[in-house]
Amino acid sequence: MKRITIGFIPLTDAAPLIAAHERGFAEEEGLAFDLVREVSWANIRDKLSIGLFDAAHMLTPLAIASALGIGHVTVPLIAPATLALNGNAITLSAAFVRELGDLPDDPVAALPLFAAAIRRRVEAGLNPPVFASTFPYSTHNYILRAYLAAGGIDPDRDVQLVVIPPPLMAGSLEKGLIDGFCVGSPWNSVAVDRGAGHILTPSSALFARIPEKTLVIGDILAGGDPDTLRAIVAATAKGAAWCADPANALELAAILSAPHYLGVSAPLVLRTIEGRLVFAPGGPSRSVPDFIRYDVPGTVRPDAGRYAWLYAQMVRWGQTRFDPGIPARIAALIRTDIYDAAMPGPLPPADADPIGSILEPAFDPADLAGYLARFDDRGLPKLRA
Amino acid sequence: MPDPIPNDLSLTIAIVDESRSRAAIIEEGLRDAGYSRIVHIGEMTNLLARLYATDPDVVVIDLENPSRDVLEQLFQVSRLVKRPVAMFVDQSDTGMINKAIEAGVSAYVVDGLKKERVKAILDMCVARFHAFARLQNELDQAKSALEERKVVERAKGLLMKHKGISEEEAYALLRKRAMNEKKKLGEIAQAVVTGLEMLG
Repeated sequence: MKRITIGFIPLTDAAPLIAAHERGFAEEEGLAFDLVREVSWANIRDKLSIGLFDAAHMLTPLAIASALGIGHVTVPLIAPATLALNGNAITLSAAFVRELGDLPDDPVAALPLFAAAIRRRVEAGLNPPVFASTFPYSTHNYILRAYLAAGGIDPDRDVQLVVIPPPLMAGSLEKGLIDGFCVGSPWNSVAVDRGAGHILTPSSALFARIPEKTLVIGDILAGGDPDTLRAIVAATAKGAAWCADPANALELAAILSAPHYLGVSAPLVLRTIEGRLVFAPGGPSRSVPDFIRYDVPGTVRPDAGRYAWLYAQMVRWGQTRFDPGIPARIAALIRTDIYDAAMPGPLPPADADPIGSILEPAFDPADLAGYLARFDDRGLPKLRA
Repeated sequence: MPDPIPNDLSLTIAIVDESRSRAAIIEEGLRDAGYSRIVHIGEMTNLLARLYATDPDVVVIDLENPSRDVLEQLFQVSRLVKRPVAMFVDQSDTGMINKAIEAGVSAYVVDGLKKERVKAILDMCVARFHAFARLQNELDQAKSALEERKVVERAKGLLMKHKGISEEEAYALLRKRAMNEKKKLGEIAQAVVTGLEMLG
């Protein structure tokens, strides 16, 4: 039995790795997953970098930035399996929601109200609203920015964007330190249950297929025995497939709720797995299609186009300069050959648009320059001539 | 311009740590080494604003702190960040960073600051983190020894009351049971306390 030390952050999207361990899929592959709970993404990155972790659950944008050396020294790693698509939401404080007025369910219809409330704050000479994400290289940062920008709000000038660790989000809303946040599961639902926040929109209503977290493997294992790499990916994919089966939702919620994993009540975790979200404190639950996805191969086999979109966000928001050589480096990062060897079978049908956003025209990964040309130097959509 | 001296004692060092005692141990070490501008930040709300207010050259943070991700914003070039910051890592110096991460500490330095000028600071912090971990360990052991003594005393008292035996006899009974069951005296005493307290 080969021991694989894997760092994770307590989030619903760590489920495939946890299921691989708890349900015996790792063992079937001759592996023992040693899951180590971490408190920060920076720790995950650094412990992977120095080899204290063999592998980790990582924010997909952080995996891309680390591998490409964006904003930090290069951390050699590969990302051969996506752990989940979507799973995020934008949540506003109870006080800020009152400033918006009656909120429609449709996030596009809600956007003008959201933008107007932000402008009223600024015009009244008050401090700009503060919104939190979990990390500079996170889908949360990009989702929040894209939504603000689609409403004509400059995320770097009209509001203040900060980073807050997910477990502190609900408390920060309650104390009035922030007006809203974009974070993964289960933390939006935690804020709603505490009466601190209202979910404005699940991210899946804005973007259909954003690779949220990825399994990353550090360069010691990545450069080593291919059988071990295949076994890790197979165990993870089998764990994900188990998580994707609605028949297992109850058991998965019970496993994840344990104090050494998420430490959040099982019924609340179940809501996030099943995509039955309660939007307002005390309100009814609503079913959100594809709120979080673990399916195989559609989610788990890494999709270069989705990764390219995340890279494009880094360029759009000034985190790095555009490099036309990136698509080749993304292919070397996701190493689909490992997935295909581990999980032979038909490839998932290709999506015409890898991301599927209602805020943007279809994304063409073959034309990154064309995509980026749609935005001005502040990342805002250019007005059509 | 003269070359910067290797150990620049005028650097401002922020220690971000929710543990007051560990921060005190690190601060003491740095002061002993001659650094005088040291700020301890123990409150994590509005951490970035607190950091900007102190405008440090070096930020030291423990790895148990979830707010470490807040510091990652310092790398970003934005209007919020007055002076861009780099992490104290360098691919050429993996030994140093390994030692720091294993000790449970990380440091961020203002970009452009020469590594040699902060190496002494990080060395000191690594040593003090290890010292603190040892102290913590000893303290935990002392605490559990005290807890065990308390529960043994309580178990003896309950046995004396319920069985009408002397203190020596009660203690001998506990010892004998612990030896027979190959368990710790504290565990047997705890079982006795739990059982007999239910009887009233």
